[in-house]
Amino acid sequence: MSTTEERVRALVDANLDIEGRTAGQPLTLDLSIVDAGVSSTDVVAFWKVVCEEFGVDISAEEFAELLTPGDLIAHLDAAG
Amino acid sequence: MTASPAARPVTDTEIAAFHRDGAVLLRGILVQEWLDLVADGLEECFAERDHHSSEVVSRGATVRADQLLAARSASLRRFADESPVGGLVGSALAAPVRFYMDQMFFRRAGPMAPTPWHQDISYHNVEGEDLVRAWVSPDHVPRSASLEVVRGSHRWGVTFRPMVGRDPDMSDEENALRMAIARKRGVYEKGGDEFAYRRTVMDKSLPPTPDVPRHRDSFDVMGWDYEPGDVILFHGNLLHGAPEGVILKRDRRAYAALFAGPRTRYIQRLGQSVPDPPALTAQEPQTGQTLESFGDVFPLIWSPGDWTDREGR
Repeated sequence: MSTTEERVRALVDANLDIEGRTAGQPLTLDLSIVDAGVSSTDVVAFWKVVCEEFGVDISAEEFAELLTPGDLIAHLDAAG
Repeated sequence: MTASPAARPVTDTEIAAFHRDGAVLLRGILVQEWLDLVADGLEECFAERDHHSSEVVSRGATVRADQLLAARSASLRRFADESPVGGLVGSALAAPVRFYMDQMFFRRAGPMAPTPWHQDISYHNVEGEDLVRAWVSPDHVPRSASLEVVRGSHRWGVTFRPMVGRDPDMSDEENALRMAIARKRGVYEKGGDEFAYRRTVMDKSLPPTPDVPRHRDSFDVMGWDYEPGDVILFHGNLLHGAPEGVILKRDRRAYAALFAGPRTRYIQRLGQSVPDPPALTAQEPQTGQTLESFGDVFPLIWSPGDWTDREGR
């Protein structure tokens, strides 16, 4: 069974263009996707994909604080 | 009301440049009296916020943007009505012009907040080929901090979508997340009670504004080393902005008035950002009406022949 990190990485690969990263590479866990050149529109779309994939309800206010893969993974693990 | 004559005539070369490029710097065309008046008015308005005052913060740099200043400052009312700027616009258009509205973009010395690239026309409830901005500052603004324009973009025949405000395809919560992300990037706005750019609704039927900073080499960008006494005229359809990453050695206090020729008409824009003058709203304007229909709101400032005796134009 895939770990949370692997599932998040798959979502990032499919949905986000991270500056300096190609799909399949490990995630930089402490790099905010906002600082990595992801547009706000793409972050909003990513938020919805994450909620759907993990079957969780994360508010916009909460998600705005979960913009590094590390924070998001920790939150999802705690919620799961 | 009649605009006072300028310190010198506008030349045929300058008029040709305005029409060709969409913008022209008129060097040394205002005398000190007008600069003092505009400086007084700007400081007066900066000192006292009103319900249209907005502070836009971008990574620690702030610009104060105020609207409809002539309605609250006697100095700026006089500048709009009686300084030469309306006549300069009229000379460029060879047509009568009305005062439409004015704005202040006030930056103190220090890190300079950029101005996103945009066209003025798309922020206002007007359309037409003869809306013209007169940009004036009592301060020296070096080329590095200049207002910049994309030469000739007024003739592209397109109105771009202002890249501010709410996305109508998103829910309130999704828009809140967009705003939160912008804040994470250090970009946010402290709006006035009745005005904030972020409260605008994007008109997604319009094409997005080109990303000029990202593809700067693809555009013919021009700017100026501006001295007090100069006036920059530019077309309402011209793409323009102000650069980021600049440290201002002195204040950059800009007064920017819009003047309209006879072909400017009212249009109710979905993406309207800048408010209509309250006196216009009270008259319930309809799309397609000329500004002449609202002569009490948009006073005639200059007509061809007004300066004939002294300036030959």
